[in-house]
Amino acid sequence: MNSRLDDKDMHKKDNNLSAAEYVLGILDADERARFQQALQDDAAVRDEVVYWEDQLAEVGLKLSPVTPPDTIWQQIQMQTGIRGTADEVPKETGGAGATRAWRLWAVAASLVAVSALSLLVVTQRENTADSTVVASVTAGEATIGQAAAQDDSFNPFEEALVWSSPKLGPKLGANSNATYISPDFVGKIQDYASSIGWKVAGYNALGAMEVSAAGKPYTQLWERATLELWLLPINSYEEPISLGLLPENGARRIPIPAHVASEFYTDYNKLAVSVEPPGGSLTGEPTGDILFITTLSRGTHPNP
Amino acid sequence: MNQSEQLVEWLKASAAGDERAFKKLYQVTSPHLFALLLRILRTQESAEDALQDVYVKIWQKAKTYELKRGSPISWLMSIARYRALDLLRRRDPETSMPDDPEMVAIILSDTESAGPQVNSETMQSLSKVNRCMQCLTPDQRRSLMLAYYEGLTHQEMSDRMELPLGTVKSLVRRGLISLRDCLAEDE
Repeated sequence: MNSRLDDKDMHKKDNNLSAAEYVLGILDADERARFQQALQDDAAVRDEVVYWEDQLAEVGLKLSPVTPPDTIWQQIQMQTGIRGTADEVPKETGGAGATRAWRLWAVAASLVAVSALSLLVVTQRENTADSTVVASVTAGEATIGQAAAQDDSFNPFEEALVWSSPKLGPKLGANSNATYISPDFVGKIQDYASSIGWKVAGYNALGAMEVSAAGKPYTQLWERATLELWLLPINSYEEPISLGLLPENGARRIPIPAHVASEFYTDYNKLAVSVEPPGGSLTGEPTGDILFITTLSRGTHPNP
Repeated sequence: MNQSEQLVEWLKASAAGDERAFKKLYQVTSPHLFALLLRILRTQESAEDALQDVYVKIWQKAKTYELKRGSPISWLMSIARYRALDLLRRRDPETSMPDDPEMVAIILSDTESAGPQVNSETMQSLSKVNRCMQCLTPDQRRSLMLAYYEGLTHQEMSDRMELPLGTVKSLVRRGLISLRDCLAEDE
């Protein structure tokens, strides 16, 4: 009888020790697999794990707390769909947040497109309207695949914004003989999930691009946030150039910076959108999360 | 309502989709989880990424929390630590940070202080664990610290401590037995 009790007690102590080692993460693969099976089968084993998690968590709490950067909460908001408020727009600029944002864009640029919210970003390849690359990035892992038909799925607000056509695009000249001009570059920034997006048309003759909001105002997703547009170089070691704030509604004409006008499209062919404090980044670099990156294409608008 | 009860309330509210409660939960607990992630993962970038993953998971799994899963803060810390270990085990050894022989000393000195967000209730618990840790031999304590704070495996501890693998396994087991016995006496 005593021997049976001793065996039971020993078994309990073994389970307790294995639970501690499991919580510490030091069981090897085979031991862990066996223990996980026991976890499923035996409530007492689960209690042992909870016991050690409680005890060892207290050891972890002895570390001095470190407040994480504001950008982390923003990332969590985007991934969970939690709405933001004014006080959640990053107050700090520069520092670790900026570094991270910059790093994010550099990685994203090499992957063609990035989204921290499983947003889809469509990038149109040069002169291939039906060849679309869709990239979805979640939890640091990227998958890129061909999705020729995806462009059509942008239609929830396609009709709200017509491509800059000769009849709707800007005029060159001021009198009745003025001619409508064609865009030299076009781009599309979009979020399928929330039907928020912008279309971009660049005009060399004007030295400017027109950015037109489509779909819902972005503030429905990021309340009182400010979204800033950036021109990205092909070489990711070059710094991005701010193009100003994105319009919430309607269109905005944005001058192409003179010092990159001659290299526009050849050396600077991508646009990015970042979340910034009210009024835009104070550092000249993206400081918040990079929401979208899109590659510009040669303008191919229809003939009149 | 004590701190633990408050965390339970916020978890319950988060499970019901209360975003303000989740934000409060994040504001109060994230500095502790972030400190742990920084300690284990050792780089700001990895710790930030992990923290983000952890709170997304907490938001999604809040409804699975129940008191028999332990205290709310230990539940949260465990989610963070398991995530860190997962990342650590997948990390390419060639890109890992080099071993820092001073790390244990830093950990031990750091753990002497408690931040402003740890209240007296938690401090009481910490004292108990701390007291029991002092009952261990230096090597036993060091092996447990290396496992907990740095996520080292037995083999990695063996390399770090320059002791045979069997000796390290024995150190850890004996350390855990002593710790468990001490905690049981104190209850």
